Amino acid sequence: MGYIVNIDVGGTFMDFFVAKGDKYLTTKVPTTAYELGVGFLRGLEECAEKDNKTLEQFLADTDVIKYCTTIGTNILIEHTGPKLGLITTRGFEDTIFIGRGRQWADGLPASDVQDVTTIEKPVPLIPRKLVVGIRERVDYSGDVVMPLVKEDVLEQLRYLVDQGVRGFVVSLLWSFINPVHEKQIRSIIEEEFPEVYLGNMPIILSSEISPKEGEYVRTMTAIVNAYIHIGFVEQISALCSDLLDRGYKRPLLLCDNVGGCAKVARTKAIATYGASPVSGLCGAAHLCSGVDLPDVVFTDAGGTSFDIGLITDGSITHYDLYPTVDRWRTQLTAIKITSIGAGGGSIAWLNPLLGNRLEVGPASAKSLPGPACYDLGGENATVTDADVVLGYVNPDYFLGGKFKLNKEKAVKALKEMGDKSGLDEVTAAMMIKKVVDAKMGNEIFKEVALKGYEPSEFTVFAGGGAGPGHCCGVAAAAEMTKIIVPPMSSVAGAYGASTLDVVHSYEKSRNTRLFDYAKGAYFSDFDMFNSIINELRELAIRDIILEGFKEEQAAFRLELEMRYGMQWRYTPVESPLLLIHSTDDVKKVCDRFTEEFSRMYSAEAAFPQGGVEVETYRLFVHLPLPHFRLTQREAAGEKTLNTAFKEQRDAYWEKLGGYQKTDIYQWDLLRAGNVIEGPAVIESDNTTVVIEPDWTFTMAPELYGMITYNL
Amino acid sequence: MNSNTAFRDTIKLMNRDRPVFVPFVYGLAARTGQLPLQEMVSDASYYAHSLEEAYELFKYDGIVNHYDATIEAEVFGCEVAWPDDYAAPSVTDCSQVELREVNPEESYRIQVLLEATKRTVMSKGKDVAVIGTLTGPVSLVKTLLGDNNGNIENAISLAKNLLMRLVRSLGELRVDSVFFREDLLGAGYRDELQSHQKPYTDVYTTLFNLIKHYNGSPVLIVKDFKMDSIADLHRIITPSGLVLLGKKFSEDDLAYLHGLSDSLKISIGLPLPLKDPPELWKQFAVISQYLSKHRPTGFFYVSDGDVPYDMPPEVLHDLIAKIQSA
Repeated sequence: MGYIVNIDVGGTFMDFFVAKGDKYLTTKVPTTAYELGVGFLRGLEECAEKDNKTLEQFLADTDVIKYCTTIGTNILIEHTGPKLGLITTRGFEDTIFIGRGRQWADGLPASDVQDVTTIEKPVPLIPRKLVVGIRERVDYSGDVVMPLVKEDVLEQLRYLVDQGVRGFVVSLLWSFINPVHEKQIRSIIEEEFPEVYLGNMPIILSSEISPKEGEYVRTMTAIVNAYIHIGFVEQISALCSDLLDRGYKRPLLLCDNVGGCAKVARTKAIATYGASPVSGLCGAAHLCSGVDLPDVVFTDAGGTSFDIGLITDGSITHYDLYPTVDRWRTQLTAIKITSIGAGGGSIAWLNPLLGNRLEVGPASAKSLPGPACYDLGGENATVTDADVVLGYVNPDYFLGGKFKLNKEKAVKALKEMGDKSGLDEVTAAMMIKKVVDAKMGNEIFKEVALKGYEPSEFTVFAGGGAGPGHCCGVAAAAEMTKIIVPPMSSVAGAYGASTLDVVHSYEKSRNTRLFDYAKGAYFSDFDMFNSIINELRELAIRDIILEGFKEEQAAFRLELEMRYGMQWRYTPVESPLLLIHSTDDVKKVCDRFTEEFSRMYSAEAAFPQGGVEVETYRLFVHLPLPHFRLTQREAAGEKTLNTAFKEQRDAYWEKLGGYQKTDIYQWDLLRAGNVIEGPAVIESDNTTVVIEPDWTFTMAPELYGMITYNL
Repeated sequence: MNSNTAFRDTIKLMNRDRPVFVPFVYGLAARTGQLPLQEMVSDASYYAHSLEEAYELFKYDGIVNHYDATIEAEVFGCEVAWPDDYAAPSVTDCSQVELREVNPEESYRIQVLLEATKRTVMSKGKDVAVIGTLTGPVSLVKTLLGDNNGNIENAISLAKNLLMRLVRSLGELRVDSVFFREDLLGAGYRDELQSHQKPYTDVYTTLFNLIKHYNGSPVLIVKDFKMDSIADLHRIITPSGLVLLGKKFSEDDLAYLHGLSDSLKISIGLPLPLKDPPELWKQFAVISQYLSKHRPTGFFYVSDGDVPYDMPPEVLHDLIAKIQSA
């Protein structure tokens, strides 16, 4: 069995989790935002070195590489996408500029939204002059009301080409019901610009990217996908070429935002957006299910952002049906992750609007110039600088000693910031820690409580490089008393990628009334329902075969977006059946919906009088891949801590009145059953665990850490 | 294994194959391209073409993008003279220099250099190492101030800012290494460094960290540097490699350097005196014999200074053939 390499790109670091059999190794390298491939190869070189191999030997022995990439995110943020043209139904050219009214707030943090004096609408991905309308109309039931006129299309097409577009997005009204006109437009474009000529350009149809109801979000989903598609192809191709040159000839799998991965050739660019925290969440679910922790809030505190996801009753059940990608509301279905700008690289600053109140983030120093203590030219005080000054992070042992931090520069940056508000560097550092812990903890509390759960029943999964260093403060702010720190916490996203199967999802909108209360009748056109499932299933089988799997290996799962009649929101429900053949089957689906709705909103909120409808059908296909399993296990029992004890150093504890001599331990020398009372610090190659006073760390038999509050 | 991989392995002290050779080809590149040097460095197409032509002719293991200690000083306002068609220029006068924040984007020569480096990396970077060269901070400050150290802290800070920007530019072009030239001060480098050790250490640390961030390796070029001072130097600044120009090595010297390389984890560049062919073959015999017997994994050959543009090409051909057959 060869290596399974899993890579997760963050804003500050790229994480690598490499598994072979029951062994694993990890590494972190700074993210090379100017060209992700550089950091990618560098990380692979480090992994190869750790196993005493050259890169070529390592890659020759690698079975699969799974990659959570931010290529798409970077293209959007930097606005380096191509010039695109949008073809839409005449009269609806301004839809994407009007948006849903509050388009200007999409993708902005709450603090920015409140400051309406400075807010601006985002620069459109396709400017108004590159949006053209054509004469055509299909109605709500899919009937053609006004046929397409080829000459009209050609005239608009030639106008767009004269304006210099390098790709087309086609989004017509009701095309998700009947895509005939969108497909005709594609044929016309292909006839005008055949593949054999240099003028050939990509054509993205909204009915293929997002065949769901919602004119604005469907169009935006297609536009965002098209915008990142070309740049994505170039960068991934260059990466694949580099890997091939170095002897890697097997597939590169890209992780997506529905908790799966797929070959590059079978992945839509937009599906990779937000893949990293989703992978981390899946990994946390996988790990926690093995250690009997059903209710967990997954957190990943990296250098730039703090991501939160929920695991309830052992499952990931929360989806974002309209996620905002950068500043654009879309309708790609993604596992729900909440992200805020808080992490190790978050910059501390004084807010002049609030009497110079100390704030942390959302701006981040990222990997370049990085925190002041990185000594890469950064001068702003960050959370990592505060951790160094407070004595939590050992400047001589950051990343296992691979990267020496400059404490003097951290002190200087904190002093400069503190001087503006009359604080010394230690007080400034402590305030930064408290502010960022409270920010992260409050976000967790909101996330859990607003979904109807009791926070105190949850365990915090402390993932990310900065997660274990702040987990006690964060958990306290979230009113939680239990924290799990897995051995690979600092590379949670990459570990999570190792637990992913190949997953594809296929959706189609078709309003279907399953129960008509007025008539007291259940839906009876079983063939119509099944034809939609079979249509999606055929697409899935096509992709299964192209991925190199057999149909028998696939497991299908159907999800339905359902609601009571006249409701605004949909509830995603896992259907108990794939196909329906009787009224009893329909009733089972409706009962399942009622159960889920009641759990979320209470039984009293159920409204069967409105009837029960399905709006969107979503079929998932899972193809299993080998997963890494934590098999290490030791017999529990108190054992001496002497072997793991490293040294003592001064660390600051507010509860104890200031700097105290604090015990420092080495993570990989801890044994099952070891108990460490706070205050203490545990160091490893990739992270630091800070156990605050009144908290106790226990090493479990599976060699993950549990930190509990001493009640 | 190609030259690029071999060079990178050498810097990481992991090269178990033949040693690599990185000559400083600058005037010779102009000669190969049949252009006066001043004209070559004024046009990115000529520049890249000349560097590539010289490489194609001799097939060494690393292309150095230039060997010219005037580029940075010129940005600050120093005057530069071009002695003849193929010799590197030299700084003639810095007396009119006003110490101020400078922008390398305003320097035409730097823009041409970066564009030529970019093209070289694109066309040859997969097979051969591409190395960016910069004047080291100590030498740059000394050039700007001469013997007048009145404003040295300010000069060091300004030199740092300029060099940081240049390192970032080179890093984004994906060069494999950045060589810092501190050979201009000869044996006086050590004293100059120690006279303002803390600020210079600060500059080097930031520059080296930046280069490593871009997956490159920082190498220091010194001249007439005492071998028994290398360990002391390494306590102050920690480049990944050290090139020792101006030295002729005995077997004992090489054994000493081998031990240093292993203990300090630093690769060593051994100069070959190309200006003096009889000396060249003598020195090459000593070094190659040691290398074939002891196989140090972090040693590499360089030219002792700029390869003379008028040297008979067959000398270089023969030398490279011997190195590649080791």
